[in-house]
Amino acid sequence: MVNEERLYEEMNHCSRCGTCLAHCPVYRETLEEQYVGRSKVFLFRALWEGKLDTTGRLGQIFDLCLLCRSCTAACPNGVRVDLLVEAVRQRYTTRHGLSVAKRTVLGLLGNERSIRPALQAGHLYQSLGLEGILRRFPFLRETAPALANAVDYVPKLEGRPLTDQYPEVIGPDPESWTETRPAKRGSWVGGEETLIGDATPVKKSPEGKVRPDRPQARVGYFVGCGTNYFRPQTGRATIEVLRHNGYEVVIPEQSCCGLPALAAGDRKKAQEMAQANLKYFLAADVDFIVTDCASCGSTLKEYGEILDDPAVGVFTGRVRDINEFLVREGHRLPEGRVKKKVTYHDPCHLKRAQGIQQEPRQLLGEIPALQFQEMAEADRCCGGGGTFAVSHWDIAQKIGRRKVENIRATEAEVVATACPGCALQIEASLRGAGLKVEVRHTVELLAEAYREEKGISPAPAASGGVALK
Amino acid sequence: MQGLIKDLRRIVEPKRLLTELEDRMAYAYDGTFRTRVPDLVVRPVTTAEVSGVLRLANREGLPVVPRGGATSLSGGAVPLQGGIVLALTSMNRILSFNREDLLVMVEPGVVTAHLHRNVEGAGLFYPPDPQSLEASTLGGNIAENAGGPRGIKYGVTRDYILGLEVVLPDGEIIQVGGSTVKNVSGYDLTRLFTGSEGTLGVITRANLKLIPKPEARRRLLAVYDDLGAAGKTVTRIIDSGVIPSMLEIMDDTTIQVVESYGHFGLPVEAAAILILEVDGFAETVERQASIIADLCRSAGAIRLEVARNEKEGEDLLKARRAVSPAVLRIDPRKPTKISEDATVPRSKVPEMIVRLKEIARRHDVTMVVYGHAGDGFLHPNIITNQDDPEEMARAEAAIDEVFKLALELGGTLSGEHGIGYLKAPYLVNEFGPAGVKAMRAIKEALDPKGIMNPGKIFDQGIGKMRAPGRG
Repeated sequence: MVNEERLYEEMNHCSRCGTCLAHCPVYRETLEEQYVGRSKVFLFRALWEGKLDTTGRLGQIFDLCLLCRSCTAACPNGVRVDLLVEAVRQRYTTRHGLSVAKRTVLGLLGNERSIRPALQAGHLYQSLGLEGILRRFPFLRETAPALANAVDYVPKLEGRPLTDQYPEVIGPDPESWTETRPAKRGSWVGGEETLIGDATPVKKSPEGKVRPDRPQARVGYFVGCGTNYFRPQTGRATIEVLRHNGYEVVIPEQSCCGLPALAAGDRKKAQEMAQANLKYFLAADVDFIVTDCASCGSTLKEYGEILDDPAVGVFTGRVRDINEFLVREGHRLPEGRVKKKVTYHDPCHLKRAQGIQQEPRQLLGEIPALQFQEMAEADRCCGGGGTFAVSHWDIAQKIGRRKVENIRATEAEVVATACPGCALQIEASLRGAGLKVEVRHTVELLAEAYREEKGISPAPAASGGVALK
Repeated sequence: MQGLIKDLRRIVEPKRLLTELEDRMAYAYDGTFRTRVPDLVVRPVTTAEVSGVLRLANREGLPVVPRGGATSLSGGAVPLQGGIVLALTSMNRILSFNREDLLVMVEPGVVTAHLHRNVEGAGLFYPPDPQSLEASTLGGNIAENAGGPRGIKYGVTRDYILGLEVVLPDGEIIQVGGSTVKNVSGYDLTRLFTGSEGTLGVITRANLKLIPKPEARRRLLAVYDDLGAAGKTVTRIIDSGVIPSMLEIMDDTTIQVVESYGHFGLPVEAAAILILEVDGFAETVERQASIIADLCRSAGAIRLEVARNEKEGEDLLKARRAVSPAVLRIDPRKPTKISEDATVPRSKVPEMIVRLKEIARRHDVTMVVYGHAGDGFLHPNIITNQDDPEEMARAEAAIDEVFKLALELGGTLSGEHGIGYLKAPYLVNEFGPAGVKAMRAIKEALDPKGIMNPGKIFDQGIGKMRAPGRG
């Protein structure tokens, strides 16, 4: 649990050497010292010592942080500047309340009843082509810039969240249960034992079919707001891939992971959300808690930093990023071809917060015919940072442009990533630059390969997903 | 102040003038421990703006402190007496790049590593490589005359500065030096401003000399069970006709610290290791590497590793790169690191190391010694606790002796960090009252009102400022 003592320690470990200057995406665009990690630590100290209060510019300066942890990763002392930023935002929010924009976003994410109509309204708005109005009348942009930015940012909406498209429990793909050994398609890789051939431990399924023992794991799917509301296609791919590998997928009732609240300084709300997720997922009795969102994944794994609950260790011990889960617990090698040139962007919250870097590349590398091309600065923040991209549009766009140029140089047709937040930002940046490159989650490409091998070419409809139980 | 702000707004765009406390606070520090919040921060983008700001400041008698990446380790960028911090990070253009003349013209805010990548992409080389090169700026490098590991073969920043554009304290803009390697017209003001620590004017443009990028390089690691043998290797190599492009030394304490931090496979019973690099044309690199390998063995190296490729070469450097973070983790009760950069003639390196260890023993302080042994440059680092007065007193006494020793061996107080405020009280020990007086005369001639970076180089009588900079 992050307490005053921990913050004090982080603050004291900064030697102001300036290494963070080379790594902070915000500093590298603004070249203004006040936004870099060591400055934030210095200002934090001033606040701590009572030399500053929260009435002035402090809030704005601390608002300009992507929580990407680039500084922490480069820092010789590993100072967790993000914790200090969250603490200042928390103090700021306690004193001054949340900004209207943040209140709206958090209000929506925290409340199922209000986000559904919003999503439908957004879908309707897009289908009617009303976006054009905003573009045609620049004065609207001037009067409501945040709204205008949000409109530019939001992708095509489906009008129905992912969780409405599936039942709570989804059994494994019957195709993944095989009567003969080895498995019909694709050899099994990863996990602690090889599950093919005669040594395969087998078990009878209710239908009398034989299926590999290992993939019977019961996987709790943490959907995450980004996937649920903005990129349900990622969620469908996650479910498809898990089922194809014989995992049972459970989508229990769940709350937002809490990161947007935490990032906005509403620690209490984040704690409530974390507590709710703890309750729901422990009650669902799952072996793993899997997510396809890097930001959610890192937040869930770090619930120990915001919760004092004795059960928190059990919960966090089960959390896996989908890439990590497939590689570590095992999956079938895809045999379908995806003939595309693909590059990969490392989400900050996957590489730096969770140390996951090789797994998504391995999954991509296993797809037949896929040509992988590493981009320069693949692990450099895309500039998304949750609501940062909307509230600090100009800086986020500048940071995004650099990502676009690195993508352009690879001549890839697809940029894969593992976080819906990055996907949104990169899509917006690509649109802004007029570069036609598709943004896909690694599981979407894997799902495509699996589909290809089964001879199902088009993606399943939005209503896809069959309840087997 | 309000009148001044109004005047400044006529010179720079309003957003380039920072007046809020929270913004100004971020310009109160560098990599050392003393801080002071400036009264104003100006972020100019042109030489004319710099000139305008200086003219105003000179009129008001307000201190001006030029600042780049502020990674300085002697206090160069700290506005000790308040006033205006001139943040030059946005003057960051590479203005021209002339292949035929091996010249590049830059603004002061260009980040050192950025220049490296640019010129190396074209097969050219700007060798100065201070440790902080990913964050430091060329203006700061020039003002502090920064060095780095490559100094042994390629020299330091001053060896690559052909000409400068400088704004004097009264706002006059002058050109010193030029664009030619040979240039003996008048006083060599280029060398004067290089290393002037921001006390004479503001560098707004620089003509840098480039050299062809060496085609190949090769790294070696030599392990010794006797410190003297390592020292002997250093002097023999220098005598052998091969000039390595890097010659780094780590003593036994450093090795143990680094090994417990990162497990690099260094033998913890070793007394010293040397990390060497040779570069040049591929054919000569092989020969140089084998000469050096033989020398290391004959001088008593107990283990020798020669990197076979770039990747292995990088691995050899990992242990060296881990020194700084590792040193901070030696003892949780001793979070303060005092890093010195006393430098002696190359031949005195073995004696220097032995006597540094004596000093550490005598004053009962934790000291690690590492550095660019090849050019006589050592980093004796004392690990202490700034909140423990008794420990600090011992550390301070040890440092007094380190300086005394360096000067006694014919060396200098500072090899590459600069004097700043940290070593100002000791300057007189190196040059005597008359030497310091001559320097002061230059300062007074160029900056009669004393507005440029006051409190640096020359002792202000504040007393010795040893200590905390946990960097």
